[in-house]
Order: sequence, then C-alpha cells, then structure tokens
Amino acid sequence: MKRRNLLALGLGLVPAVAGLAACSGGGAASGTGSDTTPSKIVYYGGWTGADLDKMQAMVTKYNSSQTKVQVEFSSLQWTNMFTKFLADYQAGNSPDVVAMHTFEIGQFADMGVLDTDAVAALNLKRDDFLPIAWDGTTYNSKPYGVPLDVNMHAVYYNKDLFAAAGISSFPTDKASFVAAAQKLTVDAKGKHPTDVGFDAQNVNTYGLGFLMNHHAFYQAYALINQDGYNPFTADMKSISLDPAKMSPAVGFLEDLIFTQKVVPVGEKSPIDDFKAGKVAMAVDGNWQLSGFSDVKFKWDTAPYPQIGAQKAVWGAAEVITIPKQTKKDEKKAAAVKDFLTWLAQNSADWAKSGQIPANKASYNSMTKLPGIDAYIAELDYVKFLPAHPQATKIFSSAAPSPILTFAQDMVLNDKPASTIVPKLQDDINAILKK
Amino acid sequence: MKQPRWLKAVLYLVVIMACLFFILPVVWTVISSLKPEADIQSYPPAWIPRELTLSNYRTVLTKFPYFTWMANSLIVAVAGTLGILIASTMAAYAMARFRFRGRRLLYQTIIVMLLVPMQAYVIPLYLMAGKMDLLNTLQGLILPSVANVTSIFILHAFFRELPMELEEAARIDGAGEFRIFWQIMLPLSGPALSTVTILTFIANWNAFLWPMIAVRQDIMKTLPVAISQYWGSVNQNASFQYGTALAACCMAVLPTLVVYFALQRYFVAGIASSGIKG
Amino acid sequence: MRRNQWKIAMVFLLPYLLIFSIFRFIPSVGGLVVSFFKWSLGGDPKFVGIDNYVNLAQDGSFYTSIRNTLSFFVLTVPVLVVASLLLAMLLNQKLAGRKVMRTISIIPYVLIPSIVGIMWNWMFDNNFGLLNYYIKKLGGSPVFWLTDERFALIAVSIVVVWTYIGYDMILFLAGLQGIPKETYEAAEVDGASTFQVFWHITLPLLKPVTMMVSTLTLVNVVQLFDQIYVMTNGGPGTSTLTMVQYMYTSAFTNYELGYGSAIEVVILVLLMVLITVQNRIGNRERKVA
Repeated sequence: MKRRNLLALGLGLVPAVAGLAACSGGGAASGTGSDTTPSKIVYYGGWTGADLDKMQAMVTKYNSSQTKVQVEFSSLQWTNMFTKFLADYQAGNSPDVVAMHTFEIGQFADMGVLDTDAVAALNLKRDDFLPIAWDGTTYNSKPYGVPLDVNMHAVYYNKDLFAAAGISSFPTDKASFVAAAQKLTVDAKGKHPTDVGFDAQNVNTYGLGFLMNHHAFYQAYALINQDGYNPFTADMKSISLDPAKMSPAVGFLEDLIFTQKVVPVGEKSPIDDFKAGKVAMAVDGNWQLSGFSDVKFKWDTAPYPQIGAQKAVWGAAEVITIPKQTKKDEKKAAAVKDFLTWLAQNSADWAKSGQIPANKASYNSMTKLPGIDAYIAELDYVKFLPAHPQATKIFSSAAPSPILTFAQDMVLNDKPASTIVPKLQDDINAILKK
Repeated sequence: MKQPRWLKAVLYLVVIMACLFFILPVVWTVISSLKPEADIQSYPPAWIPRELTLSNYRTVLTKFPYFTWMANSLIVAVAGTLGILIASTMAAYAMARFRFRGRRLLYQTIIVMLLVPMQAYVIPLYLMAGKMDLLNTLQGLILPSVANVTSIFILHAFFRELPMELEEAARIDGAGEFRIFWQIMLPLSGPALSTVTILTFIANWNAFLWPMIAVRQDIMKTLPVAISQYWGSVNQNASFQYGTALAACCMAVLPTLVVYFALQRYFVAGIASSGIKG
Repeated sequence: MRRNQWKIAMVFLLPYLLIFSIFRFIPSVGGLVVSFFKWSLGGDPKFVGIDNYVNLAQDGSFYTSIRNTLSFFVLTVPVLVVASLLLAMLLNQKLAGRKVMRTISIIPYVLIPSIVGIMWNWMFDNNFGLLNYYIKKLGGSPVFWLTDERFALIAVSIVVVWTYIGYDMILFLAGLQGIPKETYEAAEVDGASTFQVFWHITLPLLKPVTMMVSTLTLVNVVQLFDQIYVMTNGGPGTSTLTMVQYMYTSAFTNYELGYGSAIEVVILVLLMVLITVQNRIGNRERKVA
C-alpha cells in the first residue's frame, strides 16, 4: 500500500525531528558507587603514534599509583576526537576531561561545553607553570584548562652535511642562513644554486625543508611578529592586513623556494626528508624529537632564525579542559581534581615524547631528549595564535581555509604579497562577519 | 572462441599491463614494509632493499593487541556479511520478483539512501545508538552494517533478470514462493551472491567512520581504526611511523584476499540453462 | 497487477526493513533535516529555515566544490566503466593465470583507503617520489602531482581509477556469467568476428549490468572521501575540494552541522540528476523489461 509506506516515512521523521528538538547538552550522573570502589573518569586525547604511547604510559602510572581513581584514556586524531567528544556531550555522556590546543579553547568555550568553574576550583597557581603556557589557557579572562605542554618550531640540522659543506656553526641571521642553505644544496653534478649550470631539476640534497601546508602560514606568522606586526587578536571583529608589512615575510619564504632554490617545491614531509638525508635542515616541531632513535647521522636543533628585527617563533600549547556536566557529582569532581593535579606535577615523562611540560615542577625534572634545548631556548619569545571563537575556521588546516589558501598561494604558487594578503584579509573577514 | 594468434597476444599484453598497474604500488608497499624504518624513505628509491627485516611486523604483533583487533574486524565483517546475505537477498528478491502495491516506491526509497553516505548520518546514528546502549559493542558495529544498500541494488538488478519461465513452471507444479526462492532462484544466483559477499565483506572490513566514533575502548577497535590511531596520521604533524603502519596494513589485507580467492570459482559458475532476457 | 503478494513479500522484507529503518533510514532523514537548523554539535540545534541554503547559494567555495566534483566525475567514471568492462571480458576468457590476475585486480580495492592515500602520497612526491624519479630518468621534468592546482585532481583521479577498476570488474564478471556459452557459439557458427559478437550480442545483453555498474561507480566517486582527505585534504588551494570534502569540513572542522547537511542535500540532488541522465541515455534503445 502506498499509504503504508508514507506512514512509515512519517513515523520515521517524527522521532528524528523530536530527537533534534529535544537535544540539549549535559551529562547524566555516572555511578556513584560505594566509597571503596574507585571513581572512574574518562579522558579524551587527540594524540596518535608515539605521543599516544607516552600519554598512555602516564595514565597507567597514575592508575597504578593509587586506588581511588581509575582513568579510562581514549585517544583519536584531533578532528575525530572532537567530533566524538561533542557527540558524547550531546548524548549526555560527556568525558570528564578533554585535551585540546589553546587556540581551540575560544571555540569550545563559546559553544558552552567547557566548565570554567571546575577549572577555577582546581586552585592552580600561575607561578607553578610556564607563563606562556598559563596565559594561553584563559578566554574572556576566565580559566579554562590546565596547561600541559608547549611546542613550537625550530630548525633540525644535519651536522654531518654541515661539516661536509664547511659550515662550522648554525647561522643566526638572514644572510648567513640563506648562504648556508645554498652551500648545502647540491645537485647531481655537485653544483650549488650559486654556481653556473646548476640543475634545479636534479637536486640530490636541498639545504632546507619545511611544510607547505598551514605550517607555512605559521612561519609567516612568526616572521611578521619578528618585525613587530601582529594584527590577529582573540576578539577581532574584523581584520585589516597591511601587504607592505607582510611582504618581507612572504618574500623571504618564497625566495628560499623559487629564487634561491634551496627548498624542494611542494615538499610533503620535511622531517622524513631530513631523516633520509634529502634535506640538510628542516623546520619542524619538538613533537618530532622522539622519532630520531634510528637516525644514523649526527644532527641537532637550533632556534628558528631571526630574520626580522626581533626574535619570534610560532608555537602552540596543549591544555586539559573540563567539559560541563549537568549533574554535579562531587566524587567525580574530586577524582578529576586529583588526576589533573597529579598530571600537571608528574608530566616530566611527557617530555619523552619531545614535548615541553608546562608545569614548572615537571619542567625542572624532565628527561631531556636530544635536541630539546633549542626549543627551550625559544620559550621566551614563542607566539601563539589567538584563541578567537572562530579560530578553528580561520586557522583551519583543512580546505577551504583562509590561512591554508594563503600559505599555498605563497609557497606553491609564488604569488606576490600584494595579491595574497588582501585575499587573506577578505577570507578572514568573510568568516568574522557571520 | 576462435581468435587470431596475434590478437590473443595483444589482449594478453593488455591484461598484463593492467595487472602491473595494479600490483606495482602494492609490491612497493610490501617491500617498504620489510625495510627498516630509516630506509623506507631513502632516495633514489630502492626496489631491492639494502636490508630486509621483519622488525616492523614484529613490532606490530608484539607491542599491540593486533590479533584482538583482527578478531574484532573478522567478527564484525563476517557477521555483517552474513546478515546482509540473509536480509538483503530476501528483501531484494521480494522487491524484484513479488508483485505488491508500493514495491516501486519502497525500492526507490531504499535506493535513495545509497546517495546519503555515512558522514551525513553518523551523528544521528551515534545519538540513537547511545540511547540503545549499542556503543562500544560489537553488535553496535554489526547491526548498522547490515543496513547496506549497495547489496540491495546489486541483488535487485540480478534478480530482476532471472527468467520468469522457471518460476511459472514451478508455481504450476504447486511449489510455494519460498521453495521457488530457495531451490530454484538462489542456485542460479551464484555469481551475484558471491559478488555481493566479497564486496560487502571488504566494505565492512575497511569501514572507518562508524567504528571510529562508536567505539571508545582500545580492545574493541577494528583494524582500520587501530591502524590510523597507533601509527599517527600524515595530516597531523606527529611523526608517522611508516614501517609499522605498512606492516599492519599488509597483514590486514590477508583475510580479505583469502575470502576472495575462496569465492573466486563462484564468479564463473555459469547458469546452466537459459540465459538472461535481453 | 495479476495478484497481490504483499503477505509473502512482507515476510521476505521484514528483517531487512527493520534494521534498515532503525539504522539507516531514520538517521539519514535526521541527518538531512538538520540542514534546516543551525547546530554546532556542542550546543542546541536552532531552527533557521532555509538560511543554510541561502548562504550556500552565495558561497564561492561551494560552487568550486561542485565544479571539482563534476570534473572528478568526468575524469573517472567513463574510464572506470569502459576499462573494467574490457578487463572483465578479457579475464572471462580461458587465459592462463586468469584466476591470479583477477585477484590482482581486486587488491587495490581491498587495501584500507587511508593507507592507499599514504602510498600514493609517496609515489607522487614531487622531489623524491617513484613517479618523478622515473620521469626524470626518462629525461622529462618532474610533475608536481599533488601540489600543483592543475594536476592534483588528475592525480587523485588516477588513484580512484586504480582503486575501483577491480570493483567494477567483478560486477561485470558476474554479469557476464549470465550470458550462456550457446549464444557465443551460435554467433560463431554464423561467422561473426570477435568484435561483432562483442558489439551486437554481449553489450546489449550486458546492458542491465552496465547500468548498475555505472550507477554504483558514479555514487562511489561522488561520495569518495578517505583517499582525498589523506592525499590533499581539499588542496592545493581548493582544487580537490569536492562536495563531500566541503561537507566534512563544514560539519566536523567548522562545527556547522546544518551547513554540512545542506551541502549533503545538494549532493543528493546532484546524484539523482546524474543517475536520471545516465538512465535516460542508457534506456534510449532499451525495451521495458
């Protein structure tokens, strides 16, 4: 019967719409249990690979060090984890703690899913943490998370190749940096970009490598900050970008690739290329440090070069936030407080994945991986992206994204600042207007 | 079939070229998985590894609950495929061979859902599954996979083309509909059924989005989710461990290939007598 | 209707319909209805009528994604259907090693899609990848497969064709089994050449299967996500930003589920249009079964 089928369709629609209309966030109270059973808290993270291992190890350590709290740790890639977190939140089954980056705090706080009171109740002190990490955890002057770590860019360099090219110390200014990169770029016949007859199609080793995705924007961000220019703020309602002020940064990166020819065009994975000896230097983060145990050549890291008037480098920080729960569960809140306090003070082990712990006690007792010193040296001048409520759209790493388009037009298409900066401005303003 | 020798040779060559196109990237992957991590990305590319090692495979099998994940994947894929074979075959048959009011509308409504991929309905499904207590369970992974529309589409097309004469003859002989289905039509559908089996098995085996979001605990994960998680992601900036990821992936392929090879002969089990209606 | 068999039909249909309505139909309808709401997943859904659609109509990226999806479709679907048909025909013959070759053809489809993306990332690498290595050896200049806006979609298309030929092929193989040997033999007796048999007998008999394979391929291609996500993530620029990619970004990166759902509705409409056009073309000479 046609009507039978139409009725089935209608019946199907009713619960769907009703379900949507009735949806409201909030958490159901989880089992309270007797005083002897441990409280169970759920912890969502976004790490994969080696980082996942280290965080899991820390959670296991906590779980076995006491019997009052058991932490169930689940980690997926960031985008997937946030989807799951929000879906769980909608279903009333929110996790108890969620890791995220500082620039994402604004977005989630604005959605109303984060609990600032619970974080305030932890009674953390600014003095216990690295200032740059602490300052990143507030939004609208309210605290939203426990700082976990800080990470940023620096330059990995191949000491063997440096020695072979006769470079004795790591270059610290623009001129020597470019010159070093050129000496390190060798084509199949042994020529450098400065030599006559250099064959750009047949290069064996490049002097420098870096990511051609949103991280290229991060470098541009660092470079404009080096010139004292940073128009991005957490509360911006519209933005105005000056092409003239951004032109040196854009030009520097583009010249490296297209004029000086020391960077492979469209490079996909600089750290892999570095480990394989295909590039002599690579701009990448401290999260890569734990993957160097198999590398057979001598290498080290150096702070991101100072190309402009002052020092600046892009960085980000990871924090642990507490989602809102509808039902107040005192026992759970205490468990969360216990775990987060422990984690902050005992995250020295987190340094084994190359991260820099944000808590001073952990920072002081951390096991330093080879190469971490350059990153530590940069702590004073790390620049974060602002925690704008629409940060995940503006600074998105997935197309269509203003910074991604900008970055790729810059490093893949060699477009001039006069073209790409206005476009970046327009793209960002289009998002800010909504 | 009589064909000139040269034509046969050319055709053979074409097939070989096609097979090379398919297999060379895979061979490259397998060879790479047998290299130590540091060598995998070496340049110039080395088809003959400087050093062969099983260390990646060893890491995967010893450091991770690989067999648990594989078992999960197997249970979900096998149960899901069986469920689809039973439910979809009967449903497709009914819509293709039985006459009832609204069968066209029903079929079209179902088929339209083919055009709505998992990304579009994963959130409502997740919320519903939560209310039904299906999250973090194997049945929560199996049941949604049985709601497969591709199988309906394929089976419906095949069932529609089966000849009416056999059916009519059996009906005259007094056979009931189920008997006709079971003893006459199904045996003629070997190729269609085996095709659906292998395609749905692969789809269930490789499913990523739903198993990723529906399962929280490590031991409940299926292989594709576990692989993406434990060996990083190239879209994230963490170090991606190629060796172990490739080894895990190569091993993950084996059960499917076994199923495929086993079903192969049914692909060519022809219909003995009458042919397809034109 | 000669007789109404709804009773027995219900028995056959019930298991599937039960599972289908709960786990597919209702969520799908819900997923599409979300397009009339503004929903960040973390907050509450807010009814906004056709706002999302109005915004879509003014969204340049959206039109880009439609264009990309259509280009992608043109680059892959015809090649896939024709090549897989030819391959199925060839592997239907008594060639030595055909069992092995059939298995080889399906291997690309068996691999986990995200790993396929990673594999091809390597091979397409501008500076150190396999493909450019051989191109350079042959004296050519390297192609920037995945980072040049002109080539990225083509590179992705190559991967998709590579993945799905086996899938389409086994569907055609199954269809070819329905053509009895006698038909070929009769034609041979009549003195028909290989080509004539193929064109005048095999093809027409394969029409229903061809339509089915074509539809499935079309749907698979338009809905393709994993490989593009891993290889290019919609880039470079927006050159591989397909509608599905944009839908995913809107829903799960920008947390605008309503907007993503509206894109999905448009994808649905597009697919229905493409399938209708395809059916029209295919049914021109076909008699009603």
